Amino acid sequence: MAIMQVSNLTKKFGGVTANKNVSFEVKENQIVGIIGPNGAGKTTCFNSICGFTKKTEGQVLFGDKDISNLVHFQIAGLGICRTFQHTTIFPEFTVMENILAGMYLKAETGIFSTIFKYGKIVKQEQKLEEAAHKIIKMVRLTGKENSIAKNLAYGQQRKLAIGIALATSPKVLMLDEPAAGLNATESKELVELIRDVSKTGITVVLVEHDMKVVMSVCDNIIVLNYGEKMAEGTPAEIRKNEKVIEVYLGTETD
Amino acid sequence: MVKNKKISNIILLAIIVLLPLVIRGSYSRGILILWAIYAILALSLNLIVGYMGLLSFGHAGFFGIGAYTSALVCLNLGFSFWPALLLTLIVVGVVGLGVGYFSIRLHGVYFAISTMAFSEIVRLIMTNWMSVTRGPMGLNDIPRPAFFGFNFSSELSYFYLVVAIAAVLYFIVHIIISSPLGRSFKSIRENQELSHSIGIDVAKTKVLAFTVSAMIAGVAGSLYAHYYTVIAPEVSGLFYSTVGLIMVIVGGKGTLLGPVIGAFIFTILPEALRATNQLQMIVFSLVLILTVIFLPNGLMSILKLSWGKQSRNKMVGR
Ligand SMILES: Nc1ncnc2c1ncn2[C@@H]1O[C@H](COP(=O)(O)OP(=O)(O)OP(=O)(O)O)[C@@H](O)[C@H]1O
Ligand SMILES: [Mg+2]
Repeated sequence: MAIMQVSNLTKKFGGVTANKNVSFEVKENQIVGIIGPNGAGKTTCFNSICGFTKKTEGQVLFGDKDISNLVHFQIAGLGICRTFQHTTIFPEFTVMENILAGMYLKAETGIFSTIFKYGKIVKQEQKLEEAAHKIIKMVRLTGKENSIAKNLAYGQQRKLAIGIALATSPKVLMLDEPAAGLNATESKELVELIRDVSKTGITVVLVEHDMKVVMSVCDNIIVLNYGEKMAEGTPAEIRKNEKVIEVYLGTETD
Repeated sequence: MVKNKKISNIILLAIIVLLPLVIRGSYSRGILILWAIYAILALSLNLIVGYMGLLSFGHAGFFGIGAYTSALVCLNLGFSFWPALLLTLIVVGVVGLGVGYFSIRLHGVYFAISTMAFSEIVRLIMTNWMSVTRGPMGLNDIPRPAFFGFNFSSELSYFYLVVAIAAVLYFIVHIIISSPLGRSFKSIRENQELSHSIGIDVAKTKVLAFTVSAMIAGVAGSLYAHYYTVIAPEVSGLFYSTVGLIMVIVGGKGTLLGPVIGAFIFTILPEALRATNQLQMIVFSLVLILTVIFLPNGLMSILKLSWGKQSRNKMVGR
C-alpha cells in the first residue's frame, strides 16, 4: 500500500525549474532512495513534500490525505519528519535535550496545563526521558547524553540530527544526504541505523550521493536529472539502466 | 542538582526578605521597591529576549499600559487594587497578543523597530488623549493597595507586596522555561528551521511567549503606578524599555536570576551617582559595553563559575 504519493510535482524558482512533473509512490515500510547529480532537484523535492516551500504545481497524498497545501509543522504533526542536508541540531542543548526537544508533539505544551498541572508535566518528563534513552541508543550516542551538541564530532552531530527526527515518532522519515561527510566506518554504521529504523516499521525516504549506501539499503530508487524523473526501479535495475549510467553512475568513481 | 538550586533560591529569597531590616529609612526602602519592580520588568523581557531570542524595544509600552489601566480604573471606576490588577492583566494580554500577532512576522531588527514604534504610539496616546489620561500632566492620587483592611501604605509593606508578586511571577517563569513549552521557546532560539521540522508552530509559540511577557511587564507597570501614586506618559518612554534590556543583558540573559541581579545593579548604581544626572547614562552605557565585551553571558556567568556546573537545572536547556 502506498503511504505517500507524489503526483506531477513542479517547482519553479523564477526561471529555474527545480522539479518538473515528478511523480512517484512510496510504499509502506519501504526504503526509497532519491538520487541524481548536483542540482537535480532532490532537496527541492523534499522541501515541497514537507511543506518547507510552496510548490508551483502538483499534489502530495499522505495515506489518503491531501497534504499539498499544508506547511512544515502541520506535516510534521501528521507524521512526516525530515532532516536537512546541512547538519541541523540545537547547538547549545545537550544530546538529551535535543532528543527531548524532538518530542515536542508528544509532550503537553499548553500554557495553562504547564502552569497549573506542573506535577503532571514533571512525571511526563520522566517518561519522555526513558523514551529518549532508547532513541539515543538507536542512533548510537549512548554515553553522550549530557554532552553539549555543538561539542560533538561531526559524525555524531549527523546521528543526533537523525535522532531528533526519530524523536517525533514519524511514520515517514526523510533523510537528506545522511552520509554526507561521513567516513567509511560511519557510513556503514549509518546503513545499519537505517535498517534498524526500517525494522521498527518506519518508512524511509533518503536522498544520497553515496552509492554504496543507496544500493545496499534501498528497495526502490528514483533518479532525478535536471528536475525530471529519469528512471525508477530496484537497485539492480538502476545499475543496469543505460541512461542512468551515462549521466550519473558513470561519473561515480567507486 | 535540582535540589541545590531550590535551596539557593530559598536562601536568596530569605536575603531579600531580610534586606529592609538592614536598609532603613523610607527613601532607601523606596529604592528597594524600585529594584523589585524593575526585576519584574526584566523578568518579563528575559522570557522573550533570553529564552526565545526576540529583541523587544517596546516593553515600556506594556509597562505603561499596565500603569495607566490599573490607575485609571481605580481613579475613575472605583476599582480597588486587586480587581484592577486582574483587569490590567487582561488588557495588557489582549494588547500583547495583537502587537505580537502583527510584529512577529518581522525578523530581527525589524521586529525590534516595530515594538519600539508600538511603545512610542502608546506614549503619544497617553500624551494626547487629554480627556482620559490628562495628557502630560499625568495621573495622581492613585491609591495604594489594600488587603482585607490592611493598607500597603508603608515602604516596608509595599516592598513585601512587590517581592511576593515578583516571587510568584519568578516561579511561573521558572515552571514555563523548565517545561516542554519552555523547551520549545529555546528550540526556536536555537534553530528555527529545525523547530518547524519537529512540529512546532513557531509563529504561534512566539506570539504566546510575547503575550505572557507583555502581561508580566503590565504587572510591573501597575505596581509602579500604585507605589509612586503619580504617573506621566513617560512610563512608556524608551527609557524603561532600554533600561529593562540593559538589566537583562548585564545580569545574564536566558538565566532566571540574571535579570534580578541586573535590576539590582541598575537601581543601586544610579543612587550612587545621583548627584550627577548626566553621568548616569554614561556609566550605564559603559557597564553595558564592558559586560558585552568581557562577559557576553552577563554577570551570571561569574556566579555560575563559582557554583560550579551544578547550578544547571537538568530539565532546562541553557
Ligand atoms: N531557494 C532557491 N532559489 C532559487 N533557486 C534554487 C533555490 N533552491 C534551489 N534552487 C535551484 O534549484 C535547483 C535544484 O536544487 P536542489 O538543491 O534541489 O538540488 P539537489 O539535487 O538537492 O542538489 P545537491 O545534490 O547539490 O544537494 C538548482 O538549480 C538550484 O540552484
Ligand atoms: Mg540537495
